[in-house]
Amino acid sequence: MQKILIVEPDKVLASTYSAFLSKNGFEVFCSHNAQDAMLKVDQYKPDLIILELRLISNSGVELLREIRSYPDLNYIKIIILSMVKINNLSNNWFRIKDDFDISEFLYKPETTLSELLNIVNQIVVKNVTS
Amino acid sequence: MLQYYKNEGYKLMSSGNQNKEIYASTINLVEQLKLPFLQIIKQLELSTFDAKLHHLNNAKISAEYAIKLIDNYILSLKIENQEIDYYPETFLVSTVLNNSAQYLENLAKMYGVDLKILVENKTTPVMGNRIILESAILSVGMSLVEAVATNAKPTLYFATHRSRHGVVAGIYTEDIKISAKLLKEGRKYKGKSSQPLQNLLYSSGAGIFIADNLFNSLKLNMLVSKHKNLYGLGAILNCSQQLKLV
Repeated sequence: MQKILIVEPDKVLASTYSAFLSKNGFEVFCSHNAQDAMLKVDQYKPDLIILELRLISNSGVELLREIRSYPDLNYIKIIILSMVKINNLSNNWFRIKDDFDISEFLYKPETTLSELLNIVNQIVVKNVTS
Repeated sequence: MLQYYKNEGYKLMSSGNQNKEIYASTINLVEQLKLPFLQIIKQLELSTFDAKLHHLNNAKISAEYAIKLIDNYILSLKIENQEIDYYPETFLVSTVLNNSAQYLENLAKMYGVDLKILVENKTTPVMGNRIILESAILSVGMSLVEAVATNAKPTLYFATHRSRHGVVAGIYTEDIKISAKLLKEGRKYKGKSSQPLQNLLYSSGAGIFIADNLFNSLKLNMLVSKHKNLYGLGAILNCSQQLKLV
């Protein structure tokens, strides 16, 4: 079973995404902040991280930087699912995408649960075959 | 003539500052409202897959509190624009804290947060406006529920205690050390940042800023307060002198 770590500070949203992805055959873990996320990455070795950029105390970009600083975690695919709109990041987006090897950037309000599932399935299947 | 233009200039400056403040507050509130709307959308989407009633209930709760936040914001604007006159009255703070905690119960339950009332035995009646104070405390509560929800045993304390300046009333937590610096920076970045209270909240914290405005309308300052080992947000209320006249 593929493992997904959801890093989402809002408890209600986290449980919604977690419930949906679990029902669709994934083993899902949740973190609500960057520190706990790093502990869970270390403990559960997820295949995919779904990350909100707006966290408490740290930004999601700092967490990305930390995860990508460990070469043995490079196998983990990352999807950003955020309240931040991509055009708010403007040119920084391409740098972030390349520097941190982001698979997809999704704007939360415009991404339905079904769409998220499709994207997760595509990324996870690609990862397995590669 | 010169004095006339000077006065008009000051009026324009102060109306400019007022507009900036309204802009910042509105942006802050609108940013905050994305969260309950998103919760509603996702809960409804999820309910189409597994048809569980609690998703619909959660969507209802998110909607109710979003509307309450809007109502509190409208109240703060109307008082500022002197569209509402309020009359000071004497009341017990414990009543306000009880009412606010009761109102917040559903939201707290949705987030798994425990609410407790801590009232010292001898608390004198205070002077102010009960409705505005309740709205302010409730607004603070809405933000703090979000802030503490992900802690191990999240609890909010609706507390009142005496200080040498008066009766302090507010909402406290032992999970987060809220600092005066955090509040000061939050006020500075309100409307400019989508997370002005980044070390406390992932959202824009509109509840706290609306409470700030409501406390100001009562000529009170919202401040960071420490009570025993708890940190919180509240205000110092004036004791009622009425009973002393009897």
